[in-house]
Amino acid sequence: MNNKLFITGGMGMVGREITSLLMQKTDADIYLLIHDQGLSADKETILAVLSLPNKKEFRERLKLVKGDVTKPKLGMEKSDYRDLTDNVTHIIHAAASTRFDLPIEEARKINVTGTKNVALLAKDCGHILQFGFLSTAYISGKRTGVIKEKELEHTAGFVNTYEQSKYEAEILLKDFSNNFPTSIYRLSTVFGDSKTGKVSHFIAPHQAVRMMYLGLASMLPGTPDYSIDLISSDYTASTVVDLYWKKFKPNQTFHITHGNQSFTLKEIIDESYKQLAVADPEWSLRNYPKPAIVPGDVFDLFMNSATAANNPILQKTLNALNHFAHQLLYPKKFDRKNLLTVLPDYEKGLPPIQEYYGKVIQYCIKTKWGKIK
Amino acid sequence: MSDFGFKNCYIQEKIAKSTDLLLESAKEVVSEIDRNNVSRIFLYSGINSYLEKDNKENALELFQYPVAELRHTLELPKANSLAISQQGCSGLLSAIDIAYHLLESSDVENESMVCATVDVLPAGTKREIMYNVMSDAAASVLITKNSEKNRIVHFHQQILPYYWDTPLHENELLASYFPMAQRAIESALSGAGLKISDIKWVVPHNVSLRSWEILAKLVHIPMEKIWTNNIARIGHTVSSDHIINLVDMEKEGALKKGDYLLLFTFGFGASWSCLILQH
Repeated sequence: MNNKLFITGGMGMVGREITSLLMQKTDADIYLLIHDQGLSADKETILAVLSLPNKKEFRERLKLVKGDVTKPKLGMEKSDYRDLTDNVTHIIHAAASTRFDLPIEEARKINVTGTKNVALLAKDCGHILQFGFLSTAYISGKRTGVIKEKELEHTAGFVNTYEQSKYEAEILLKDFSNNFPTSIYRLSTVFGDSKTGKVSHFIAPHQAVRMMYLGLASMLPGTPDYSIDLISSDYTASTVVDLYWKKFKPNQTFHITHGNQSFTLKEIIDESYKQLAVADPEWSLRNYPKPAIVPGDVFDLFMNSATAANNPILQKTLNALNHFAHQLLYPKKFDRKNLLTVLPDYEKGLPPIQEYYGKVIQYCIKTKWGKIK
Repeated sequence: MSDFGFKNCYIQEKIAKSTDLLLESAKEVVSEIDRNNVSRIFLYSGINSYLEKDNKENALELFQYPVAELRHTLELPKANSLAISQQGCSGLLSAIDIAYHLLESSDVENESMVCATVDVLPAGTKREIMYNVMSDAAASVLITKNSEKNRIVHFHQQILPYYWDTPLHENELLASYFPMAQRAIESALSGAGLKISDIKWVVPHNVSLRSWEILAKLVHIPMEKIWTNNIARIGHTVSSDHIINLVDMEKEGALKKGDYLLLFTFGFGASWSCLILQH
């Protein structure tokens, strides 16, 4: 019997690249959860989004299942749910909301309840062999210093509801540790494709660059030498596939991060301005000043002033920065002992952010941050 | 506006006449000097007043110059008078810088120049402009060679010409205010060969207390060194703030000989200006 892999979030930022790689590199049947409010469940469309050819083998191996992780039994038709529990051997749960500004209850509904529902499905699966969960390195929240992969629980607090809800999802998965073997992949901030610069989901760092492009980035909290850990979507996906498919280690957690060679906050501001000028020479004539790097209390004072002044545009801009920018006040280094033990050549293959940062900026400008397809 | 340091706002029903305000301040600066030594008068106004005049009937009224009236009233027989404008709140500091450089390059002994500024908002104008409360005011200074008081140490101005269209770029201006202010102050200090800790007093614009609370942290100067007494009392006056504040600081006994003073302001157009004086 072929392996049968169920993927949630398979059309997401990293999920779609993972799905695409698994379609290409394995012979597993892939059950792809399609949100019942999302894309039309049409294999041709899905293969195109996955950048895969519309060939017979792929069409046969790809099974589309409509559902919603936030609903009990994933809101599926009973027959679909039974089909999964009868056949699925592998699960990758990548579905999540990566928004930083959701109210905590909404974030929990997707990221915690969603994880619970997928875990319950896994528990119901008679032949389950592996469960992979995509998490974030920032479940460490406001902790500082070296963060080890084996560490989870802490009381430092969180900068945003995304961090908090993913943390709670990891805690929840501990309750299922006796039911199926689980591996957790804590990703750093995924910035774009290292070869093409393509971005499928524009998140906080892209929005920060957009603020700089619009001349609205006044200040960022933090210190100039704070390390900004960004990773490419393609290398992240291939690392997850290697860890999950080729070298699965039950009950282990892995930090998939950029590490020592990351840009510092000052460097990333400088590089952003340099690359924006290259991508749009007319923009550089405006001579927008680079944002000041300030302590957290100064940033908060400025935020409060914008709120008191009732300036909607500045307030919106600052709110967009606010939900992630405070992370810059909590310097940390992600230890990768588990990762390097399993994949000793990880660092050799890691595309340096310095080499593709400009490509991502160009993609952002070309697509107007995703408004032009 | 209380979040920005303005507790009260009083509006007089009768708007002051700009020439009255101007003459009152200018007479004082020339009261004890030889008026023959005044070689130039620079009169600065930040408001585009010429646009508001409706002189279709008598075109000659367009040539009725306040700066010429000022020269006449002050009885300055040799002063070349010139009005300048359109640099927002930076205008007077720029005029001082121009006068300073002209005096530096002149061989004439005891030469001096008057820099004056006046701005009166037209009746009915909204007095709350971009988070500050505006007052009408005039101020004048006498610039002399080898002055024993308020020696000009260094002037630095950062400009961003792209922001000339203030209504169009209001949000970009607000966003750039603090990083540009930080840059202007740090560049001025560097040009003067001073550290921020050398500064005894920051003589502020009176735009808002909150803006100074933020800027103080950015440039690492304690709020106690920023003379903010006039922000709530007088408000912002386009280009007269620093001179009014300096006069009041002196009256209060806050200034001592040798103190380094840092005057900073922002002007629409857009410019960030910083003048360092030694009292």
